[in-house]
Amino acid sequence: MKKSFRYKLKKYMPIYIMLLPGFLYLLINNYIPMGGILIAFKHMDYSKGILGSDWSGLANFEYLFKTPDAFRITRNTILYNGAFIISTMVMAIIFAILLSEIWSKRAVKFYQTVLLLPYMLSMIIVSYLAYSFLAGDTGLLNGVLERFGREKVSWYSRPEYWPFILVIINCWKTVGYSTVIYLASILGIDGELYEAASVDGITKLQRIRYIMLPMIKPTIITILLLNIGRIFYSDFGLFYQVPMSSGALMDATNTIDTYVYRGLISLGDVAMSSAAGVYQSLVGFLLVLCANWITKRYSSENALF
Amino acid sequence: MHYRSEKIYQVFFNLFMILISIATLVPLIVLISSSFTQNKDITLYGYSLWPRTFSLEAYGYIWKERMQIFRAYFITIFVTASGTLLGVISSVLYAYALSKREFPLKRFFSVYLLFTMLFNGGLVPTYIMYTRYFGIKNTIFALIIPGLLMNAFNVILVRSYIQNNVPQALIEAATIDGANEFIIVRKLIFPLAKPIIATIGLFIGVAYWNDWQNGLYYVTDDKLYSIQQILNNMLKNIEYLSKNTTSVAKSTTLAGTLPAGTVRMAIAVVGMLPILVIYPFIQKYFVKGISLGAVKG
Amino acid sequence: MKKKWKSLIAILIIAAIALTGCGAGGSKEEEKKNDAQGTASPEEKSPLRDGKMTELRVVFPGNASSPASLEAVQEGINEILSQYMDATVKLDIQEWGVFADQQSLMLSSGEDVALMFTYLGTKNYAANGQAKDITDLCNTYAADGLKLISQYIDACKVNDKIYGFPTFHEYSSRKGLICRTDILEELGVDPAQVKTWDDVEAIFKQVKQKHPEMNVLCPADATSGVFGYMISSKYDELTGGVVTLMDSDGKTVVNLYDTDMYKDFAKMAYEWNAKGYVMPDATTATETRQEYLAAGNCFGYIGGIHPGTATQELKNSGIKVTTISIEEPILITSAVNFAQYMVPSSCSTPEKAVKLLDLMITNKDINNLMMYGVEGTDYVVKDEANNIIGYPDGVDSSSVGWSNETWLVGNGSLGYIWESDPPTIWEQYKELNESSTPSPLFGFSYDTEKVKTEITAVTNVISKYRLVIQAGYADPDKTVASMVSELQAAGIQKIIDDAQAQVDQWYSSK
Repeated sequence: MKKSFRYKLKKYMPIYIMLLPGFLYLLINNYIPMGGILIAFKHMDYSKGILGSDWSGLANFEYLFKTPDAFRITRNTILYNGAFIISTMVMAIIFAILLSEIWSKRAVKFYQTVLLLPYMLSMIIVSYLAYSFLAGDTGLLNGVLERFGREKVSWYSRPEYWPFILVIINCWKTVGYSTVIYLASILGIDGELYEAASVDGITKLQRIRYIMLPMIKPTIITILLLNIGRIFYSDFGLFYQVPMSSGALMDATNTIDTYVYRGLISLGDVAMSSAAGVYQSLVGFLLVLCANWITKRYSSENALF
Repeated sequence: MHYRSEKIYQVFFNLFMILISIATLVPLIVLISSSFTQNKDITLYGYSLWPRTFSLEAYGYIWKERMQIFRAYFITIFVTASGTLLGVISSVLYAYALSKREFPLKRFFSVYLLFTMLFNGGLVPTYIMYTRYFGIKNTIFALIIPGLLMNAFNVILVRSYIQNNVPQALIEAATIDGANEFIIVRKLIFPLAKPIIATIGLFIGVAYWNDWQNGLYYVTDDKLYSIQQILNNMLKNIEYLSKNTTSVAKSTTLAGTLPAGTVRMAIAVVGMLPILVIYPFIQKYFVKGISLGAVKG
Repeated sequence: MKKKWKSLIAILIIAAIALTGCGAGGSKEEEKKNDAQGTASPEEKSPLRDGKMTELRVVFPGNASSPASLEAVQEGINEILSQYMDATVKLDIQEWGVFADQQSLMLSSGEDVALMFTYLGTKNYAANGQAKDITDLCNTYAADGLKLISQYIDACKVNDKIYGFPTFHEYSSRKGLICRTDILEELGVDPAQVKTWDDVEAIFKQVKQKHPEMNVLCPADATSGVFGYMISSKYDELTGGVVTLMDSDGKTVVNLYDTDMYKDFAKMAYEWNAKGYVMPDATTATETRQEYLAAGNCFGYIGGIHPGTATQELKNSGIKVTTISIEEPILITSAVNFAQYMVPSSCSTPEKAVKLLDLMITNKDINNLMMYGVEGTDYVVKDEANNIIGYPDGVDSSSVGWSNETWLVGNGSLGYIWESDPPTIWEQYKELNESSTPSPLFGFSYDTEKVKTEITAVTNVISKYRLVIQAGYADPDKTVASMVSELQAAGIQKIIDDAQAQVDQWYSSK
């Protein structure tokens, strides 16, 4: 018994050594801070410290859900992500099909390069780009409006436009990435299928409808499920930096992630901010599990775990 | 066959994609052209697609401040390089270990990894730990360590690649020849899993290059600013000026020291220049990597 | 399946250990440390002379985080400190834009900060225990400082306890017209003869006639609207839209936007806009007023005037301006406690921190160091008799190794006077502060805890209408009416009732 343990240890030691850096990193970066979940159940009093503060039970959550914020940030997060998923998917599939139909490989490479470029830029740069378009008196967009004799719009204080603005920006930034995925998936389709079909003399549209789309359906569904799993999380930079954290836009741009940060920075309300964070983690956790479960049923090799 | 109609299709498709490409590039063109405009023009006439009066005054300002910009560049490059290196090594090692068919505690280590995708502790506890117990505030480590180094997603990508594309027999043969696990990783896994390693390397690298959050939280010393942080701080200063009117009424020197609109755009151009320059060359790997990772999203 | 659960449980255990590990570190260790310090010296040594060189961290905002003279300034202050206590100082300057983020992180993570600047008052920090009650410590260690600011300290009290000291700054301003001197001279206007808003309008008319191409007014800032400052001395605002009118007895709280005063103002703004006194697109303006002035096609703006306004504008926009005050200054709580230094509760040596606070209010040399940097390298004395200083040869505002705002140091009025400022600037500041009419509610600060939700809703309504009305773009009767009805729907009455109750209680406890 003892010998076999020693033997095992010797045999597997290198494996554990390989796991060690990652293990330690995740411990420090992810596990230890999870202690912060406690804060969500405390009535924070800094003079007593985190552990010394009184337990508040679920009071922070109760408080959170009593405000209209809880509903608003949940609604915003889900609706925005929904709009992002659909808009990006539709456009990416169209672009991918078009690219797959274009003969010149060089042209395809060029379009692909251009489409993917925004994906490489940081949200800070995107904020600057958005600012040059949307600035009230100097923005390009208002300049165009003025040329057409329309009145200028104060974009950074008009919440009603922001759902569109954010969807457009998100599309601009991520559509290239999805296009590449779908294009790879289309190019992976067996050429014989097309040949067999062309013998039957089908039109281009029929070919797209009856061959391409069914063949890339698994990719579509996998990506859809993955995105649904992440629907409770939002890109902090997109929702915080790009609207320049403008107060007037709060209703339209506040998501769970920005709410958690704002709660901490501008309200100094750590407990409530933590409660929102825990709420996000819990619901997000369930969604990931669900999405993964469905993926597993559907195609097990694409499941995360 | 119907060659002619196919040709019309080609023209139409290309035309459409050219339009889309232009639409994609317009924001960048505005940014670049405004950095070459006289600042006065922007205040008076606004941003435009083409410089109204061509001027290098913004870049003159940057040249004057070149010490700071160069330092920020150096920091960004150093952080990106070392972060990517560390990230790739720790991810590949973890992934290789998990790709083993069976070893004690395997399940523990894989759940341990996946669990991090689901829960996080939030900013304040993370901040407390890194600043108080690791003392990383205002050190270069603050830009390298927190958050970005390794994530479960990349590890899973590499693990599945190894499982699917590196023949187990090869590894076994190497073991029989007396190679230990580290030699196997170095001599077998790194060459054979090169595509996926290049891919996660790119993912991690771009994340480091574009990161501004670590700087915002852990760095307040301007000697350690990265390019993104300089840009972010300017943005936040503008925000501050437009919001806190009472204090701004007093502190007007900030408005005086804030770089003019064109300068901000010029710094943004300088910040994305390396990406614009390097991108066409790494584009190939990037596309390959995304396609490889496609199944996983 | 079973194995999976085992692993999950193992993970949870790790997480649990992590939990306690993290939390425990947070506060207990420090408490222990404090205890140890307390018991280690039984012979009641003064806490200021405990033999340990404590590093006192002072956090405040600034334009750059590590100016060239930082070390030298710290050394200068350390030398002074050594006469009073065993401590050194570390000036931790945060860039303006990130100051709020860093401040929150530092306070909520419990960093050992001795003095923290705040421009939001101390009420919230006091409520959640982030700021220390220093009432007793002040009496022991900061008696001199306390005496010096006794007139204004009420504004910094929360529940009758002191949580911070206000810095010396202009606690008020005279509202009026700030405009280009060259054009005034061209029109032949004598600024001394301009006494009322009607007189001001007469100037606008002339500008419009002589310079039809020029925009008369730009907004002073992004939130007040072009004409907002014309009425801002007429009320004491407790929170958005909820005010007490200065010409009332101060016992009733009202909705600002539902008062006759505001309706009349809206009408006037509309008329003036119709006469063309407002720059186009004033409600969407995103550039600062300095940029409009510098661009050269703007006559001026209506805003707050305090000593040195003209030199500040000259510095920032390069345009020489004349200031014409119309309204008398008022003294309200939020303008005094807007700039304070407080002692965070996580500070390990509050006695030393309070002593430092005292020195910042009373010590001339510390104030000079913090305002102007090091003598000889950052400034030179130009006129010994009048305490006038300026840049040394070859140094200018962009190359100087230290720059700071006078309202960020403890008590600038003890220090030198910059050559571009009026030589009597500190007297003018004091005169302005002392001549300000205190609001009946001076010393009262409103606790918004119970009506947070309503305040967000009300703030949204206000931001929708305020700029438009106060720049005169909207038909006053209709727009003000719909604003008021939307404010009602957003729950402003609940805020008013809540504020009224607190005001009543404040009066009865006085």
